[in-house]
Amino acid sequence: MEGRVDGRMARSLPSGSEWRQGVLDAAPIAMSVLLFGAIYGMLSLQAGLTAWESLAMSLIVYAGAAQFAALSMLSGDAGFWAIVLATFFINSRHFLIGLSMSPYYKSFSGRFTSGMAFFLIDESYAIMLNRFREHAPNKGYIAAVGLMLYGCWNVGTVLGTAAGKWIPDPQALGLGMSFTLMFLALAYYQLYSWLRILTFVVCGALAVWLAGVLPNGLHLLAAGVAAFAVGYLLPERSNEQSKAQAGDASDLSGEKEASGDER
Amino acid sequence: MSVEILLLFAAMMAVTYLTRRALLRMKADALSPRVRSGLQYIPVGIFAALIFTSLFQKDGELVFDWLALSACALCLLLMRVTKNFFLSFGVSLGLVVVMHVV
Repeated sequence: MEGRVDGRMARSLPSGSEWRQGVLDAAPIAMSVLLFGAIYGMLSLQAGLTAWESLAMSLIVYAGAAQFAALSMLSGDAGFWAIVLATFFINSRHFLIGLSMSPYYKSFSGRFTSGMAFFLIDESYAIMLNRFREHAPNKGYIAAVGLMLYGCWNVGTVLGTAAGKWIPDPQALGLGMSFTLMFLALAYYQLYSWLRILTFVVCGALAVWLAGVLPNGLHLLAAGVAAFAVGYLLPERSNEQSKAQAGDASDLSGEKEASGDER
Repeated sequence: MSVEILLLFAAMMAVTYLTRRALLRMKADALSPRVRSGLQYIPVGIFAALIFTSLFQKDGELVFDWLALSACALCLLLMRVTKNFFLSFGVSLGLVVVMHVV
C-alpha cells in the first residue's frame, strides 16, 4: 500500500503492520514516558492527592508538564482558575504542534482527528514527524503511537502511586535528564542544514531568556514563532541544494503532503 | 474524590484539548509555500526551547551543569556517528546515571 508524498510514492505498510510499527517506534520513548509517569505518581502523593485522584488527572488531562505544574500549585493552595490558566499557557505550544501536523492529518476524517487530538503530545509529535518524513500518514500508526504513550503514562502513574517512597528517587540518579537527551537525539534529525542549526541555537537562547520573563510555557510558543519566521522569510525550497549536497536530497520535508486517501 | 477536583481536571483537559485540536485540521492547500516552509521550522524552535531551558534554566537562574552538557555532547556525537537514536539516548543517559551513582 502506498500514498503520495510530494508527487512521489511514499512507503506504506498494511494496516496491521502500521500498528505494530507504531508500537515499535514508540517503545523507546514510552519507557521515558513510563518513568516520568512514575515520578508524577510519587510527587502527586506528596502534593496531597490520593492515588485515585492522581490516576484521574493522568487519565483525564494527560499533559505531563502541566500536571507537574498543577501538583506544585495544588500543594501551594493555588486557585482553580490559576491552575487552569497555567495549564493553558504551558500547553500553548500545542497550537504550533497542531499546525505543524495539519498537513499530515488533512486526509483523515474530522472524527478521527478530533479523537486523536487528545493523544497529541510532544513525544508522539516527534515520533510521527520522523515517521512521516518517509512514510505516508496512517491511522493505525497514529493510534498505536498515541495509545502506547497514553498507556505508559497511566501505567507509570499507577506504579508511582503504588510504590510511593519504596521506589528509589529517579531524580537522585539523574534521570531527570532523560527527556532532554531524548529531545536532543530526536532534534538531530531536524538539523540537516546550517540555517536550521543556527535557528536551533538562536531559538534556544531566546527561550532561555524568555523563560525567566514570560509565564510558564510561553517561551516555547515564542521559540516556535521565531523558528516559523525563519522558515517563512527564508523558504525551505532555497535550502534544497544544501540538503542535496548533504546527501539527503530525497528528504524535502517542506513539500511533503499526504495523499487524498483516508487510511 | 471531590467534585471540585474533578471539575479542575475537566477544565484542565478542556484547555489542553483546545490547544491540541484547534489548528490540527487547517486545510493544507490554503497554505502558501512560505507558510509551509515556516511550519517545517517550528519543530526546530520547539525542540530548542525544550532542550535549552532544561539545560540552562533552573528556578529562573542561568545554570551550567557540565555533566548534563557533556551527556548532550556525547549524545550528539553518537547520533552523528551511528544515526542510532536508541544507542545515543541510552549511552548518554547511562553516563549521567553512572556519574550520579559513583
